[in-house]
Amino acid sequence: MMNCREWERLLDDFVDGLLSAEDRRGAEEHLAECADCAELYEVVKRNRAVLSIRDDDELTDRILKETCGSPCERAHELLLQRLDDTELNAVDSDLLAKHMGHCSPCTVLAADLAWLGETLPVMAEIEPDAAFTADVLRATAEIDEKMREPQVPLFDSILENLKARWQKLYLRPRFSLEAAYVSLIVLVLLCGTPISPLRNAPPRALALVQGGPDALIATLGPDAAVVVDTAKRRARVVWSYSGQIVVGSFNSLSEDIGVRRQRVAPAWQDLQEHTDDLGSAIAELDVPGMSISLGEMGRDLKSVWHEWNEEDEIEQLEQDKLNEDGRTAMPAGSRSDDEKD
Amino acid sequence: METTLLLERCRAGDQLAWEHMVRQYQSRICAVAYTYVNNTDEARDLAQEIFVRIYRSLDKCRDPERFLAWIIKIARNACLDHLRRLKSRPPRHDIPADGMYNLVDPGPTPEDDWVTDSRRRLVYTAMRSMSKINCEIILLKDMQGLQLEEIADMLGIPVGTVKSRSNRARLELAHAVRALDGPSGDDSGERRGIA
Ligand SMILES: [Zn+2]
Ligand SMILES: [Zn+2]
Repeated sequence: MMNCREWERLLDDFVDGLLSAEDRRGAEEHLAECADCAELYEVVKRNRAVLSIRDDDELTDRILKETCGSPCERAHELLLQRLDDTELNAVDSDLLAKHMGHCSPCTVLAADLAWLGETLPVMAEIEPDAAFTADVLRATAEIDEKMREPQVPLFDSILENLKARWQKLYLRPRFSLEAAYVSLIVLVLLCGTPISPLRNAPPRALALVQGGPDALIATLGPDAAVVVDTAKRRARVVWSYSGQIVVGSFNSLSEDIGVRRQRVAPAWQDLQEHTDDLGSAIAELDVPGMSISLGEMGRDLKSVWHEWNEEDEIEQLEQDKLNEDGRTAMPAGSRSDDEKD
Repeated sequence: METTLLLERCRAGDQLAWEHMVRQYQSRICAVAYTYVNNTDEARDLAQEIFVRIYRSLDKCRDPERFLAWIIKIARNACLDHLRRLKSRPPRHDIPADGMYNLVDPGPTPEDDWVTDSRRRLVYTAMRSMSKINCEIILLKDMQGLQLEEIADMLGIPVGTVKSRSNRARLELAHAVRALDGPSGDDSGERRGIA
């Protein structure tokens, strides 16, 4: 039978389950007999990790595995947290340092993570060769070219259609020129911009125009922001096109009838100026400005119309001639749209 | 220059503003493209295509505060499209079509390669052993420094998933780097050229 001193000597190994069968039997016998040693045994067993009677990493690992599981996972968590610029609190920081003092995989990992923490942000950028920027600018400039020359079939056909429409409207004696002209302008802006929600619906646009620019903006509703944004950017390009076409068609109509042209010239001059104003107002999305310009243009158009039609005989002759041209330029089926005024 | 203002100028067609924007972001876009394709020539073409896409969609950027996330999203989509195109085409022998996630060795580094330093090479090589999503999270979060929310939005997964995946990805990458760099020693920093 072992005495208390002998038993104490075996205590650590006994708790760790490392004794030979013989020693263990002896220790168990003493434990059953001796209340003091039984008490000591309970204390040691309870506080095994804290007391840390021996500095044995392997043993610690085994105990941890049987109790809380591997602490490395928690250490990884803290290492990553530290990498995310999150300051660890003093306790975490201290515990992590203590763990790494004993765990070489975590120490290596910490070094590798720190290395990645420095390396990865540097990899956000790769400086390309010197010619790169110029190549990009060339490529994007080509897009601009394409945008400026409307090669899109839809765009082309709309402009063709508008041209024909303008000529036809112009030739109809009692048509309100004001409405026609304004409709044209707004039609181009609404149907000619590739992103316009109305690009496939000219009749709807035409109907909208009767309500004036305020109604127009209101009707665009939730899409207004997109339309406004794009319109701002493209209005000037589109505007120069529609303007050219309108002016061009007017000039082609009147080139061989110089007298009339001279007579309408002042009013025409005014009209062109107010048209430019409208263009700017549309580009700036300046609704009051649009209203004012439209009003002015209405007056200009009336005087143009008045001056132009003073000599009915000539007008009738010209109209017969131009009706022929107009009909050939007119796309099939577009007539019905224009009959409603 | 403030992004909002710069963006506004670009939208209005100011070429100088656009040039400035290209210069400001080109090295990031190149890095994103390179990370996906692992090849300088391919990355260069791709980066140029990405800028064309950005230029075309300038009107669609609703939140200039998140401009970086926005252009990186465009870049990512372009890269994924590119990799899909490559996959559907028979491989050309002069370009290693290894994409982001293949284990093909890039071979010797050509003289005009964008990536010459051994640090970056090591990381790129290590990333090839990783899953696609983990690679992307390393790229978006640790390289480009995007917010978890931005990444979640881009990848279409919950923020919590991005966070846990990010942790796993970094551990995976650290282990992959270690495995490539040899099993021994803590002098890794020195060998890879950091103080
Ligand atoms: Zn005893
Ligand atoms: Zn550990």
